[in-house]
Amino acid sequence: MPPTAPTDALRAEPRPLTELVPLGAINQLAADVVAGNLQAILELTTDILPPQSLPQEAFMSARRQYDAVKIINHLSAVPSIRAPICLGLTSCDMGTPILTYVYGESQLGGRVAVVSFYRLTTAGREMTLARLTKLSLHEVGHVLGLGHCWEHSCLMRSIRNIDQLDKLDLAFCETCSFEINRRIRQMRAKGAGSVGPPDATPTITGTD
Amino acid sequence: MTALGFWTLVVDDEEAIRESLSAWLTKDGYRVVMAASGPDALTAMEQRLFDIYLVDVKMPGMDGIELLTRIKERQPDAIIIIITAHGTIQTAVDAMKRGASDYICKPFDPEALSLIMERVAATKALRDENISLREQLMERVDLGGDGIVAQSDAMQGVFTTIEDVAPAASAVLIRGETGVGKELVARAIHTAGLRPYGPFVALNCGAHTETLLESELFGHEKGAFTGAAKVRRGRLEMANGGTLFLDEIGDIPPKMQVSLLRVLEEKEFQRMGGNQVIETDFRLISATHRDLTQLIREGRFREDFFYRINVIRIDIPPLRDRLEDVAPLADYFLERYSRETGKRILGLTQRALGMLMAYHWPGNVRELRNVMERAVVLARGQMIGAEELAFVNTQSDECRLGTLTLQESEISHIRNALETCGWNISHAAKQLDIDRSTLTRKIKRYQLKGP
Repeated sequence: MPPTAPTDALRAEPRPLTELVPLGAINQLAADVVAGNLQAILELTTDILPPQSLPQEAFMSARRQYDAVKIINHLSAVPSIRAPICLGLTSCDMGTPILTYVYGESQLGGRVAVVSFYRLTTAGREMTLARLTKLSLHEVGHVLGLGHCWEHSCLMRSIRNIDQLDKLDLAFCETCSFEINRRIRQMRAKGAGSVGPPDATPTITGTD
Repeated sequence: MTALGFWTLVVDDEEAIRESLSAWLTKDGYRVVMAASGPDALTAMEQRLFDIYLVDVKMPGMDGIELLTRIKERQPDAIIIIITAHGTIQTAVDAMKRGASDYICKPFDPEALSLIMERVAATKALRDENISLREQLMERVDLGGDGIVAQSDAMQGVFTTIEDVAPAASAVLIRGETGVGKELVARAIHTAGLRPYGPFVALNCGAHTETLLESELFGHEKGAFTGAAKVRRGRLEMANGGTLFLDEIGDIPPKMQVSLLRVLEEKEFQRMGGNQVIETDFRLISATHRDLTQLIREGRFREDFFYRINVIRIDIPPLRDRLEDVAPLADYFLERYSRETGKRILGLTQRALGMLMAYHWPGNVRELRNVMERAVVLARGQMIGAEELAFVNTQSDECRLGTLTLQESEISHIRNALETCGWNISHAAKQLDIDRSTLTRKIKRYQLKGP
């Protein structure tokens, strides 16, 4: 789906459930593939927004990484991002105050997630895109309020390393699928309201 | 290894670390509470004890090492992971010597954190399982590790019921006299049930005073009453994920019946002297030798509690009503005690078996087991004879056949059969496996008279 501009005409159309935000320079194909899979697998209508810069306050100079928590806090505060789910994509390396690196980060039962493909490019382009897609779906699952799953091939399984990521199917297990569908239905019923569990407090969570 | 449900306390003075770690653990299925300092952590422990503690070593005021010592004083088996910064490894090593389970340097490698958490969660699960197994072993030693040996129609019916009810989660009430093997039936239901690998926790409700029974069931916090020197887990807690077997349930005081009813309905409770809500999920199997409906009429047993525990009922007949089980049971115990004592005993003489068959067995299978154990210990030859069972004479007035002649023994046996069948001659003849006319002739010959 091509990037959309917030024109009056578009405002009259149903709002997308997900907005994908390229952070810094990223490959357009990567954004298209992720958006396409969010729509195909989760049936989440997705718009790709114009690229934004990474927030400078998120840069940890000593570690030469961006703090994923601060990126999420930054995206949460951008007024032009109004969809119930916001997914940031970056090619820069990310870490958190406690973890030396992260592939992705998200608010459990919240609104924002961010995924980096800095550490995913160890194989060819197709493999990199597959990894990026899996991670994006995984983090969106967290935003929808799901914790880690113990089914071996489920996309919500805790991702410890790239090998494990590669072994996952591009699909959720039956239980996670049921829960995801239920929460997306709730989200649609509420319009553009909260998508998490009824009394979930959005918190920064996890590392994948 | 699933971390689902493990309570974890994260103690760190840096909010960003606390929040990030807490969020990471939450996503992995841990239930997390955060504390910003040592004193805050100790306050959190007033509300509940945690399965796993993650403690930053460097904190203003009370540091991680001091907190570690304080946690260990309160909860000696606590699993504590020390968080250090690079350059404070020596402190971490000191912490390990003081009982920390592991340490991790921040910022953590995600894989290292995962591995440590998986390891401690596995340790915690193993430790819990170990405690349950130890309890079960103690119960088994008390029991002697017997299986159920029976070939009577009545007991075959019990076996069928066990098979039918085991896969359900419903409460079972077993009724039978003392010593018939109610606990064995309960264990058989547990083993054939949905949670065979869960704990089987047994408690004899008639063996404790009211306060002790409450403490046994619900556990208690340190200082809950005089003598409560440390925290103790109750049987309700230990039975989580398995079966709770309450023997002599008719002896539970009405007040405690209310508390137990609440636990069965809500699947949660609090320890004595505590305010922490503990969740538990078990299958309840109760047993009694008493007539609970009579106790209800007398106002000593609550009707609502009765209906809750009496979803499925199993009646185990006394041994005197199924004398055909005496021989296989005697053989079973003989073989078992021969093996245990190292004696080579081949079997029972016909006279000895006749004595066992003629006995009334007020103490049921348990009494038979004790009789056989003693007989094996006393045996001098390869067969157990009347001499080895002579001691039974002194045990009970009803077992007085040791020196009887064959005719006296026959008279006694026929009288027992008639009394057991309420002097219904057809039934008694069937039990004795003789014709009705033969039995009538013998009654006449021996001048036996009914009530």
